[in-house]
Amino acid sequence: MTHRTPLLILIATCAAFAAWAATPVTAPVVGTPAIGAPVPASKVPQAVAGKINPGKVKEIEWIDLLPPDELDALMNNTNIDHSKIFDPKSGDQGSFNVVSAFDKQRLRIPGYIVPIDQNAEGKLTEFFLVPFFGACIHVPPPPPNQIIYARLKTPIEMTDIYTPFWAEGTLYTKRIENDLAASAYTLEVDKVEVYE
Amino acid sequence: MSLKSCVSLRDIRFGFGPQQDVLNIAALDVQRGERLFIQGPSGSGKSTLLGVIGGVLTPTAGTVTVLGESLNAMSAARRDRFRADHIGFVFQQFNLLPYLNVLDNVTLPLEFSPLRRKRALEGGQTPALVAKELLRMLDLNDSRLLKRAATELSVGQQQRVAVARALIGSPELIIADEPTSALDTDTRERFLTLLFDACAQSGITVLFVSHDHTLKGAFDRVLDLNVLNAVPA
Amino acid sequence: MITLKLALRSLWNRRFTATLTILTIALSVSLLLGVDKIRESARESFTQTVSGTDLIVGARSGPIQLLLYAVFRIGDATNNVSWESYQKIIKHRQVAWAIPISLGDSHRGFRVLGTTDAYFEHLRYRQDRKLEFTSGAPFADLYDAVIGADVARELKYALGQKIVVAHGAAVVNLQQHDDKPFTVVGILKPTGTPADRTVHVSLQAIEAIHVDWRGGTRAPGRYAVDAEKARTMALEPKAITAFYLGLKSKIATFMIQRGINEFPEEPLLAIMPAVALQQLWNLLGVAEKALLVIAGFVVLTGLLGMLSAILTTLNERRREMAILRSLGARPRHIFVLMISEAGALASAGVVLGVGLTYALIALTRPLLEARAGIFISLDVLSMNQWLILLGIIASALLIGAVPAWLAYRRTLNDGMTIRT
Repeated sequence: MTHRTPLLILIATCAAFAAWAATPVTAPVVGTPAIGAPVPASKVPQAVAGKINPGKVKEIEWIDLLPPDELDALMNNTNIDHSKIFDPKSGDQGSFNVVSAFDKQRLRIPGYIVPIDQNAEGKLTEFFLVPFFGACIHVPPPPPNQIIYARLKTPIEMTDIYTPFWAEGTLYTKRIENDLAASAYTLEVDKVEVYE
Repeated sequence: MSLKSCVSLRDIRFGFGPQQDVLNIAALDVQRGERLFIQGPSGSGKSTLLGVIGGVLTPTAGTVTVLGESLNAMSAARRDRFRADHIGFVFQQFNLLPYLNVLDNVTLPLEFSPLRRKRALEGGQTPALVAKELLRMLDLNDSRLLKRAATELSVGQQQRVAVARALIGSPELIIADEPTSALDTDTRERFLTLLFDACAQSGITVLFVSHDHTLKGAFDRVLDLNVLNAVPA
Repeated sequence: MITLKLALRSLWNRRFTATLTILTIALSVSLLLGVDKIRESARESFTQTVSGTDLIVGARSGPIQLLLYAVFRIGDATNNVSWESYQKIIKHRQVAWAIPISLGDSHRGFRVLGTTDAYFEHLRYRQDRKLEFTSGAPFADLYDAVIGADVARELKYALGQKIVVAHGAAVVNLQQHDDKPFTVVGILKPTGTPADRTVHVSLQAIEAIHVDWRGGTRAPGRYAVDAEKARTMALEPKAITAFYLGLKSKIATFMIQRGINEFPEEPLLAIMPAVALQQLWNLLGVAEKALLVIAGFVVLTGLLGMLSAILTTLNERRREMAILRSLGARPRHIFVLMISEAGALASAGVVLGVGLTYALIALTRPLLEARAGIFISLDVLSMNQWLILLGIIASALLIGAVPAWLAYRRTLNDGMTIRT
């Protein structure tokens, strides 16, 4: 070993430090599905599916959450006009009906995370899981029975709204608040993983 | 190898190639308790010789035996330990660590050699007491000296403190490399007397290297390094 | 351990240079820690300010802007929300509660917020904490005011205090509403949110103090309306700055948000607070990282200064190394001795740096609260910060390995003698 060795170690440390510092703030994932297109579980590549799901927990798709008669209605319906919802005479926009067979079922579903609340350390505690990107920004929102209200048992590092995730846990279809006007899908989340 | 042998060198060569030998010594023997004067100017290879005897430098060829133990057979770590246990050094000047006081300088060898520590503290003494006694033997009687910074002392005082450090814990051999060259003539003789008296008490061998031949009369034996060392000067 | 003792004594001998090195490291550590603490505190202050609110609605501008003025009272609205639109929206069956707010006035540098009882009942922060009163109650009379904890503390107000509200948001305003003074009837407990620095009054009171204002200034003389006369007038607001919504079913949030964004009668914007916060944080995230990198480089500079200080003494210490070798010190001891010096300097620098950080935070806390709405805690260091400190010491040891290595090599070559 010569005089150069400790200097090389020093330079390597600086390079590592600079590399860490340069990691970009979370950016949109390359290959993000087009806005409006739901994330289908069946399209997950076989190798990846094998890696992230040992096969124990059932995977479902967003379509599964619709009562059977509503699928046709959703497909045939053109964009709902939300501008009139505050007129006294207008009805609810979108269906709150749920498929009660999913109550208390453990399952996995892929989607986008819209944060609701975080704890003092900045970790995510509650979020909405939605089928497509942009639901909270500028795109017509999904109907109520295509939105899942999720609560985390263990808060996780804040995620970004651009990345799709697998959410795994127990789904409930009953009301959770007393004066709810309608039912909703609620997920008690065990695990959140990046969708690859 | 008799029990009375302190240092024994055979066929020592030290250098970086046949044409670049610094040392070429066929034989050198020093008896226990002997006071040996090796006369040699700078550049005659004396520093290298002392380094070889002290185990800091490894000869290219030959055997080095100190107190009956072969230094060649030892690992570098063992040689360092051996040196700490059995050899005390006194250099020409700047012997002491400038950031330690006199007491800490004198007791420093005890930190590197548990053997010497045991010997020194036999009889239930503390390191400070032992140091004080040694300094008294060397004519440094002021007890306030112990806490003074090493750099505050005169050269003569520093050299005597260096001797005390070399003596503490009674190592078997003391190697002195030009210890009097920085002292004035009157102080030199006094220094030598103090050194010999202290060593005689414990039968310590003294290997004294210097170019100053006016001192050699006090010694048991005198060797000329230029004669000893077969390398052309 | 003899090498550590020697290292410390050696440093003490060079204590002037050593102190300078320690100071340099301490300052740089304090900078890095300070930046990280502010970063964490800012994040916490902002994210914990509002909770349980499903939507925040204001005139159409940008989500971050709306969040900033409606929640943090930073910046101003570009336009108002008409009272009719507000009334129409809150009649929707999914709306559980609504808190209207009106901004625009101030009192001695603190913003005045016009609102209703719903504010004290439904506003939540830090996930589920309610606003509580140290003393008093929400406003009952027209000219009642409820003040936040910081207002009470800094201006030394108690219940019954009479205050005058000014028009505009600056500390000193030209136009005062001094004909209609308010009475403090409630003081809130500290929350660590902008509520601490707010004077709350009723929406009607905001109307009352502006009832005789035309063209941006108070009407003079016979056109003036005094406080008692104002009571008798119709004081329903014509517009508000923004409002908070709580819905019966959280799932309905998306639908209601859409409806408000497409509201035909007026251009409005509805935001989900957490989403807007995330957008704000993405924006700031770049600045955050940049600041940390810069601070990191400053630490590196400090450590390189230490390296320089140790290297310059290396030559004079060759004699010292030779002496130690003659005493039986192994080359490894020399290496450890040198690196211990670096370690000791860095550790002292880090400890001093932490102390400096807390001292500086204690000093600048009030300023940061007032100007930026950031509430810095004097809590213990977070895990992240401990790791940063460990990283600094590790880097110091790594850097200290350079002179240690050089000394090690030299001592091997020199042996016990120096050829000078």
